[in-house]
Amino acid sequence: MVSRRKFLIGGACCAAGALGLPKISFASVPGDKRFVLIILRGGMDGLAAVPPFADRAYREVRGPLALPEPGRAGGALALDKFFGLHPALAPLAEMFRSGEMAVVHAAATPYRERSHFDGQDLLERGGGGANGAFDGWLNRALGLLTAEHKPVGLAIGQKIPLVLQGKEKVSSWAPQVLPEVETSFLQRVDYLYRDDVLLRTALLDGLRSENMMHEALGEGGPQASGLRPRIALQTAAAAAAAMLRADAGPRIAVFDSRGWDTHANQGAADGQLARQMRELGEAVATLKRELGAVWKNTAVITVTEFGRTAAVNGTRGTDHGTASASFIAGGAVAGGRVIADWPGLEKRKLYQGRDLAPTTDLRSLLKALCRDHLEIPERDIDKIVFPGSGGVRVLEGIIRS
Amino acid sequence: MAERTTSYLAANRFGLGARPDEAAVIAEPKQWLLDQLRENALPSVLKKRPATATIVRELRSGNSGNKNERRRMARRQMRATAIDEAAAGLRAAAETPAPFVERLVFFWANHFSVSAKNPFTTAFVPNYQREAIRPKLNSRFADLLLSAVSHPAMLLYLDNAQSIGPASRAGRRRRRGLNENLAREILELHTLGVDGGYRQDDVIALAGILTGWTVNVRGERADGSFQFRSAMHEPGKKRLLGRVYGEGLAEGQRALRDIALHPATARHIARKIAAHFISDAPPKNAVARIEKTFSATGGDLQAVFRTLLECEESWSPKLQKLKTPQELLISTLRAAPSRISSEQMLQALTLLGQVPYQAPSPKGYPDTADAWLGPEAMMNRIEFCHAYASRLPVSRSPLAVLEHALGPLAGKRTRTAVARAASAEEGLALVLLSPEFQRR
Repeated sequence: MVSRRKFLIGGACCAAGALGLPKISFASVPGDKRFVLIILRGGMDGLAAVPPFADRAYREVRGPLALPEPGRAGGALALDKFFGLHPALAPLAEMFRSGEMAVVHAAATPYRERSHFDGQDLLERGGGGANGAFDGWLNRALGLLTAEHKPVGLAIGQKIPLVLQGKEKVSSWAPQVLPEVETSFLQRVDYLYRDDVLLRTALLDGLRSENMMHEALGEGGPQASGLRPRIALQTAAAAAAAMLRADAGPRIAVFDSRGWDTHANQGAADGQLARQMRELGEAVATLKRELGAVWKNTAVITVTEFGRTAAVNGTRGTDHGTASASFIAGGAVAGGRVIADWPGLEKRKLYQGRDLAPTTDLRSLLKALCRDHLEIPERDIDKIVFPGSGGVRVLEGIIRS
Repeated sequence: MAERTTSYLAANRFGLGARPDEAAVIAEPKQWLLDQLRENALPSVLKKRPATATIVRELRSGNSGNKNERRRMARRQMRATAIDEAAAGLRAAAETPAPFVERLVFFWANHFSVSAKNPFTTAFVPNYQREAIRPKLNSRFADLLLSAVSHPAMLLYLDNAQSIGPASRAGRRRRRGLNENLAREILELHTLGVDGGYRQDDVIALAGILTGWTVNVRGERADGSFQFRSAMHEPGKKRLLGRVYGEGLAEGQRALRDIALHPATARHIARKIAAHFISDAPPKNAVARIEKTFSATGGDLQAVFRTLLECEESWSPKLQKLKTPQELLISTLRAAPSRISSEQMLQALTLLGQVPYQAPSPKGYPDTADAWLGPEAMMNRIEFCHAYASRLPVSRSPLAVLEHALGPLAGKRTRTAVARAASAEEGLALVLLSPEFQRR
């Protein structure tokens, strides 16, 4: 396996050494606020991450995906009397308790189709429809920050995500290793090769010899330990924190996480999705730990292009849905609550009879971040950052004043 | 058959993989290919590459420091040259509007394979493809054979440069002898083939004929060029495959021309060509037709490939040939162009197991699926395709890439898998990994 690691990635702006600081100098944003956006690609199952355990229809609708009640083994961690948190997200539960984390639930962008590409596009462009902005909302927001020494934005990963693309120059940093191939991707390759004896045999032999087979194809068997270490998201979080913490460093960082498109063998308290969530929880914990004193001025938001179906599908997973949950965490957050206009999970309350219905526009959270944390004037937010969003109310009181 | 299908087959099976806007505009697929071969244009990225004489001069001119210093510097220089040449060749292949030419360069360079197995050969091997193989693509097979065998890279790689006729002036003086390596590989690999009906006597005879074929590397005027040294040449007549040859360079060249026209050569080359383009188990009819043209035209390569393109089996919509790592890399660069560095291209080929100039034997790199699809190799392909798709700076619509790369060759399952991908990067990785893209 060692030979794989030598495929060097270009495009890094950092000095040698795993987490060296960029050589470009950055401006400081007024008030020294920091913002981290984590894009969860694939459609995170909000009902699994933040289960409404007290909703009467929860257990029936979710079937085998339902978590045990709070207090039971593998049960949800209670956030309040109605909502819980998936046990794998334990670090976030702690932040919730200390008032540093909040959830915005049953939220979605205006997008109502179910294509990943288009959904992520809309999520990152920040547009309300097909009026076609060609840049990302966060890049536009950057343009409205201090004009002195740019850039202040940092993309962590192999390339600059759409949300940061645009007129404003941003920097990028990538770890010098290949991104791991996720289990969900290998499942897709398996599907791709289903009719091809030659390739499928080679794939299965390859997986077997790398000990990944059980995980990838969801077959029963011992939990494989010593699998490919999931360092990718941790590395990004640690790098973001190191750079954001520096006096002369960037102020806004974006990185993404893949593998959330759990169509098959999603698992409930354990399994594929639980592993994803554990990684996410640890990444946010790493941000808090490594940002140190600066955490009190930081806000971290997770977004995803859409949620997933409320009911399980025929392959023990879920399909593309609509509303999901977003986390906002950080010392700058007025947390300790789940913000949701809860639509309910009875079948007639589900969107198109299948998905958690969206009752909040996700942009209301993002606008609150722009107005109250980044201190961008509201009229500029409505005109430039999220054009056409005049009708979307800013979520009040989510940022500590 | 649908015109669109043959255009895509032309670009993928005979070309090196369709670039955006390539397959859609091929009006006459066969003619498109034959025109490329007839013109045999040199890609512009290769026009400024240094000649062997220049390289040798530069290596010899390093005078600073002691012998070890010089050797180290020379090694570094040669390594840099090799990387540059290999990368230039890959870039030419990725960008060329005449991919059939580049495919044939790789094919013949692999047929007449040389490897950089020691520092000495490393100096000459990178230029071999460009100097010995490329100019003869549209000539006769005999011309190509002579060009390959006379190049210093081949003479050094297969030890002919030091082969001395035992009865020659040098042989009598030094008691050094014949090296059969080149002669055997010419008969076994390059021409007649292992079942071509030659015997050990023929190997020895050919080895004797080729003595004196060496490389000019000593003295003031050393420039790494071919040199015939009569002092090393075995005197007397030699009997090879039933014919008699006299002494000297011209007789040696005549012998090679005769070997090139031997009926077993026609059969061997025809099979190799059909196996490369059509299937690991090439259809007998196609082989027979190509063999017939080869014999009838004295090995006219343009006629030979015209016949290949006239075989029905050449245009079967069933994609039977698995892409080698090099083909996978190049077709990926063509389908989804990006600014990739020389180092990254070579690291990809290292990961995938096909490093330029490092074929493990004179047989060259294999062409068959079972050679390239072990379990580790499969995981490496997945890793390469996934990584390449992840680092493309501009997100391309995977369905658009699927369309321009494969068009009607893409099947339903692949289309579905790509459409359902969780992100654009994942979709693109699935295009590259699809059974239709992994083959041609």
